Amino acid sequence: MSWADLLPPFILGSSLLPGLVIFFLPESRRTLRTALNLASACLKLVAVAVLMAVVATGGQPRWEWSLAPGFDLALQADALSLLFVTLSAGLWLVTTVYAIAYLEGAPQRSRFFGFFSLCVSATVGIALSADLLTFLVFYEILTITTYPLVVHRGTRRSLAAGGTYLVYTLSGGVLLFVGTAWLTALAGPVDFASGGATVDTLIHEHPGALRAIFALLVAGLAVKAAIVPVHGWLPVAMIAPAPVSALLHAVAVVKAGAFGILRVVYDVYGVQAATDLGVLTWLAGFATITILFGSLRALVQDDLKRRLAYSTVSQLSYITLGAALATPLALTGAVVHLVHQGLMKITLFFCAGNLSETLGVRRVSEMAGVGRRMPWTMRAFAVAALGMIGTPPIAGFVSKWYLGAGALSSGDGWALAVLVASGLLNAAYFLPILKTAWFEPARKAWPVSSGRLETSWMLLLPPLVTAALSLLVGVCAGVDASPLAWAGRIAREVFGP
Amino acid sequence: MDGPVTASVGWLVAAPLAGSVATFLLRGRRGASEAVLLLTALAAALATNGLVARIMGSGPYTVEIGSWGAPAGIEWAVDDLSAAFLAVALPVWIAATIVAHGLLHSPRSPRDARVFRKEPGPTARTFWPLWLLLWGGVNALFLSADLFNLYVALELAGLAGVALVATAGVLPALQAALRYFFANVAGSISFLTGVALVYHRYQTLDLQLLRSAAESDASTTVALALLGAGLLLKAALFPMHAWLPRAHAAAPAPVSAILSALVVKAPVYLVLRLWLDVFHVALPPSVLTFVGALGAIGIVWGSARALRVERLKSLIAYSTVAQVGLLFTAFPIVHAAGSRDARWGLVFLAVGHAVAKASMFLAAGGLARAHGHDRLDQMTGFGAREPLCTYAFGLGGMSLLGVPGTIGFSGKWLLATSGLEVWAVPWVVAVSASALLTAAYVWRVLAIAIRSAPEPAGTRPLARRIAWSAFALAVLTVALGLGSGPFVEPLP
Amino acid sequence: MTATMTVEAPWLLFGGKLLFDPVSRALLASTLVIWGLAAWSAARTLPADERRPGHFGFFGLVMGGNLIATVAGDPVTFFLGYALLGLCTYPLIAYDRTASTLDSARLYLVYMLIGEGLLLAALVLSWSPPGGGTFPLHLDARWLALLVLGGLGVKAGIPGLHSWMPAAYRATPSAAASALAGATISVAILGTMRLGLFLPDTGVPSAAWVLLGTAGTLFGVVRGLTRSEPEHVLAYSSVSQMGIAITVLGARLTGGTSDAAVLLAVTAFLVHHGLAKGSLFLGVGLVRDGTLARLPRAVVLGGLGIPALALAGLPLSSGSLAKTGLAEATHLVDYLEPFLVVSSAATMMLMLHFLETVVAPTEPSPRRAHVSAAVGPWAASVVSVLLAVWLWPDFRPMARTALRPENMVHALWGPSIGALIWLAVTRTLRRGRRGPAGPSWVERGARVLTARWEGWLGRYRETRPALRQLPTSARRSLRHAAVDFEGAVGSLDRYVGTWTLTGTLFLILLLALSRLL
Repeated sequence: MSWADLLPPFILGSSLLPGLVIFFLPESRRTLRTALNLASACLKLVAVAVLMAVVATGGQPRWEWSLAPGFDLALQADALSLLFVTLSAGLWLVTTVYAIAYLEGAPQRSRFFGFFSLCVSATVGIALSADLLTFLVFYEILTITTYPLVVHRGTRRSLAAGGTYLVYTLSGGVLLFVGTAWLTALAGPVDFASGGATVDTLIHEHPGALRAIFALLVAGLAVKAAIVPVHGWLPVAMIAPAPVSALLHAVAVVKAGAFGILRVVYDVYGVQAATDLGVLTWLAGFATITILFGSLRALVQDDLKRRLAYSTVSQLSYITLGAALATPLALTGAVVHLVHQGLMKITLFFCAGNLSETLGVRRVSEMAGVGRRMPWTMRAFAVAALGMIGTPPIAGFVSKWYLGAGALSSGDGWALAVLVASGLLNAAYFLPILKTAWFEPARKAWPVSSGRLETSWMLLLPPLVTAALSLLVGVCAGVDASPLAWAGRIAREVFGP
Repeated sequence: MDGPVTASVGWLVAAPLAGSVATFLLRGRRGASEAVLLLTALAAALATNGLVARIMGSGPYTVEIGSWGAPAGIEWAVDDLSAAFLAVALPVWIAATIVAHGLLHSPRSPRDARVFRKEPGPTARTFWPLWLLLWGGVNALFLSADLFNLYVALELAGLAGVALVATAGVLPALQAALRYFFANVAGSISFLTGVALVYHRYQTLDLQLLRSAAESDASTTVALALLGAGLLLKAALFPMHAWLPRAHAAAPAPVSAILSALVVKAPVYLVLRLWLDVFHVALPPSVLTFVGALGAIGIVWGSARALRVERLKSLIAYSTVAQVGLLFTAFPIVHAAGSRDARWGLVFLAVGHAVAKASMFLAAGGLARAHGHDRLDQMTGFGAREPLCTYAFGLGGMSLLGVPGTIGFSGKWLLATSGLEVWAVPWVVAVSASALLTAAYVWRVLAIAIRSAPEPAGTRPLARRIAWSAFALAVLTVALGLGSGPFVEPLP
Repeated sequence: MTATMTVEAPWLLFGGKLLFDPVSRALLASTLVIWGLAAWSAARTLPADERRPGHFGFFGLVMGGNLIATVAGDPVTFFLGYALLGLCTYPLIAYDRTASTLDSARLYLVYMLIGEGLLLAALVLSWSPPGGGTFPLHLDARWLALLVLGGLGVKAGIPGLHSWMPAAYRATPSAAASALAGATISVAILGTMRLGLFLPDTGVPSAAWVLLGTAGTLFGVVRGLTRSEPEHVLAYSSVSQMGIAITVLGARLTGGTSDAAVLLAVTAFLVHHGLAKGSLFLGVGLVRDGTLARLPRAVVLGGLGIPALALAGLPLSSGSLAKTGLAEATHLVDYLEPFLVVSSAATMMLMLHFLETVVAPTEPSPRRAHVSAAVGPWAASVVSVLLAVWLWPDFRPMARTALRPENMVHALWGPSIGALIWLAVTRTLRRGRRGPAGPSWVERGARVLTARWEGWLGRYRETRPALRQLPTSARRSLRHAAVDFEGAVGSLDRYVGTWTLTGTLFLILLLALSRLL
């Protein structure tokens, strides 16, 4: 085993071990905790960069650990893993900075950051998992480690929301567990690298079983991916502090679900088998319903974070729809939307957090005139919101374009119409926010900012960085190192040249 | 079968028994009792270590006591099943002993008399001898290789357990201990009758010989029924579970820990051994379906009660009822699949439950000591005050849930895959879906812990070693989950 | 200067290209001039308050989008510029932040977004992915053409899609309005040229385009004659002028006309229109805030009249160059010549009407109180109308043709006819046409629709609790059921725990096991 094979577990450990240490730090050791947090985040990024270099030069690192007779944990780094793990590592660093500032003075910070680190470790594990069982392991760990973050505030409402969250996610976990166990019982360990070879051998003898397994797996993943009708936990979980919402909605939980669906469709079942079994039509159907339903529900929400939550429900199904359309262009669109939606959504949540933390503004109706009080926050919000709508050259336009093209290339023109309609719906619920913020006079006096900046620099910098990134990855989408090019490479790997 | 290795296995029983006598004679004197405990623990540790090393190296083996072979002499046998239980029993015993010691010797203040409302509790003088007796009995049970020894060990453990429950001293504890006693007696009578029948039929009680001689006929059937019924009563399978919650809730926390973790496991282990191993030729699957169904009902029943009861220790006790039900729903899978993986799945579940339940009871004991009571509605917000106990409880709960990374998950996974290979669908669904019911009552406690609330009057800080012991056991469930691979691989 | 230059920017979006050909160069230059003058005027006319930096910021963004769209060499880059300018126009329109300006801006935005959606669909449908190959899904080219028409027609003022224009031009500050009406509208027509909307491949007969364009021309004039706000008249004038462009572009499908010549002629037309319209808006702005009232009447009439008459196509004006160019390029098409004459006449009528409205505007501008030193930019714009088109090198051939005596005489026909008709009509109908015109039916309809939408949203919000009660009540009943179940289990448990029952159950178990075994 070369040193490169140890990179995946190292990346996992770079947040796991500091996280465990942070649990036991007394509340007062603020500097040490902050230092540990930031150091581990930076270390993780560096390790991911090294991993990228290794894979770029043709290496295929793989690490295995035996848990019990016959089942092993296995980590590896292929193109899709790298994409997700880079996104996670990068956004985690940004969120850590944000969270440190956001939770200033809040109780139980050691517990929060401990679970925060565990959460990211679980996400990294999901990203780097080499087979379905490892994926399941980290997927369930993610459920458990995010619960304390959701209920961090400890109020009755938070706990009720956390309870709802657990009911949904644990039920999904049971379905995923049974599906995985069934498939393993049929075909042995289900490796991702095979690209569907596992299922291909079974498709003639057990088509019914394979369909049922697909339903179980996707149903389990659909909970986290917030597909209608199991999306209900997401708006409810908005009661969590803003860094948690940002992390949940941009990086960890929802993306894990979408990522899982991509893996199941392309690396467990393979395009051919999935199409032959006829399961992709159903998936596309549910995705479409979710896209439209999420946007419709977002229209009527006054609470800003709930509106963003329903927007996430809708946008995430773009990825599912792209996965279900099963063409190279659609897959490119889906994979690149994984990154783009993450960047844009995290910006929106950071801004929402700034508004609630600095001004106590939580509802859209309270946002009149806030653009003058917090111009940079609202500018970042505007960039991200316009990207969500699909305005060029921001990131969202790129992914929408490829999804639309993908729809056409699979002969599903209706999907293009759905995407355009969804863009208009997005405009209908995002643009009024911008209008209220910039074009209506303030109804009450805002608390004055203490420094020169509109709020703490640590609260301001993350959304600006992610908004700038959303713009950059859109404008420079033609560059070889852009997420779009990366997604294209992944699609070529899956579908062949 | 000779030399120091032989001797060290014997220490597993001899040391606790000797220690029991010693502490009785020492009348619970402070320093001396600790020394005895330490020596006992050390001896047990060495013995376990030797046992594990030997079985990994050369496979199952038997030990003759007094160098007389079967069928005349007493033989002890160690195979993978008993090795697993014994290996896990050691850290549980050590942690429970530390906590027991901590609870026995924590300083009491006059204020406590008001708060505790006259809770006399155990004294070192009566407690340690019984404790070590129980330790020895349980170990002997796992080592025994013939039915009579099994009966003796079962009786020993049961009676010691009853007495330990009674040491709590309050009326509910005495009532519960009496109940427990009657349940034990009923079970033991049934078991003994079964043993007698077996002897009558096969003229031997040695398990090895019985395995090769077993046949499916009327007397074997009745014998198995008697043996099984007795064991199922002792294991508190629904609907004969009623004695368990009362006993385990009323007992002092470390006692509850051992009772739930090991003493209840022993009958489960014995059912596995007798029905599925020794007499498996005489066992039709319909029996297991019946028992599995009872187990499934038990899961629902125990979880439903756990969601309702007002006291933390009652909750954990009902959780044991549910988890025992879970273990019995796994039996049909093990029988149908007949594979090594399935068996290890069941063992992992059982072992995982042992460690997790022990840690949960120890944590509950710590919380009860800190608050002066264990009423859940008056303990709100204990997560901030006693983080280690909360983490211990939480992590233990995670193992019961089967969160990946813990040994509970490994057990569930092996059972699920083996079960689906032989299409034992209802049992696999029961095993998988039980996680949701478990999550419900674990969440109930964690929600109470996390709720931010002011500190209630009368709480006091907890001795550190109590919380750390509970936590260390909880961490063990994860360590076992992640690290048991290398140990299990070489075993058959 | 005549060479065509393409600049590749593979890093931009999906691989961007910039195209510098005679068309884009001319439009680029005129766009810069129009925006420059608009910026200069805005700097002079807008009060120095908190809205100013934002306004200039969006000014820059719309200009940027305009420039990108003008020099775009591939559809995606064009769409980038088009969407950018479309979206960022909203803040320019909504500058005043009054209820009516916000309404106008919202009306504009809704039209614009729908148009962008249609255009996006069309662009995706006609995209060939970099890996090569086409999509298995083929939309009939006619539908594609319809989508593009819808997408670009919103900005270009196709009748039916134009309804946002009058209100928007009225609401926007005059400087921004001049840029919007002058420069950005040309982008739409440029888009149709670049995307080949009028090519034979689309399967749409040229007669259809000609009909559409002619309808636009006449509709714009007729509606414009009924309005009394100068900005509204100018809006309808834009509709009419773009109709001319569409007619010419559509007509070239018949007959062997040279593409390059027609495109250049239409470009000249767009340039001329842009400069003239821009100047007119600047002038109207000055009229609104009373500056021009302080100047001598002759100057006012001259400054406003020159661009107006240029639009009508008077000889020696930029309009005549453009119209002559159009006629030259399409001389093989029979019906275009009378069409151009008729359109000149109609435009003349409209322009005279415009001058009449300007002399006595019905509503003073809210910005009346502010200082306006914007005479300079306005004067410069008038000068540009006079000279720019004649001086542009690429338009030289057209200039020479326009200066030919026979063409100059010919150019006189249209405006004269129009002036005569107008004089006749106004003399007889002087009485009935004063008074402020109310909101157009579209604006009224938009207001009703908005009210309905808000009402629906409100009702949906109210009924949401009622609708949500379904899952909530289901959840509640589930919870009740669970609690009842737990209670039942609890009481049963106590019963089961009694010794008699436990003992009985034990014996039953024993029997059951023996039976089964």
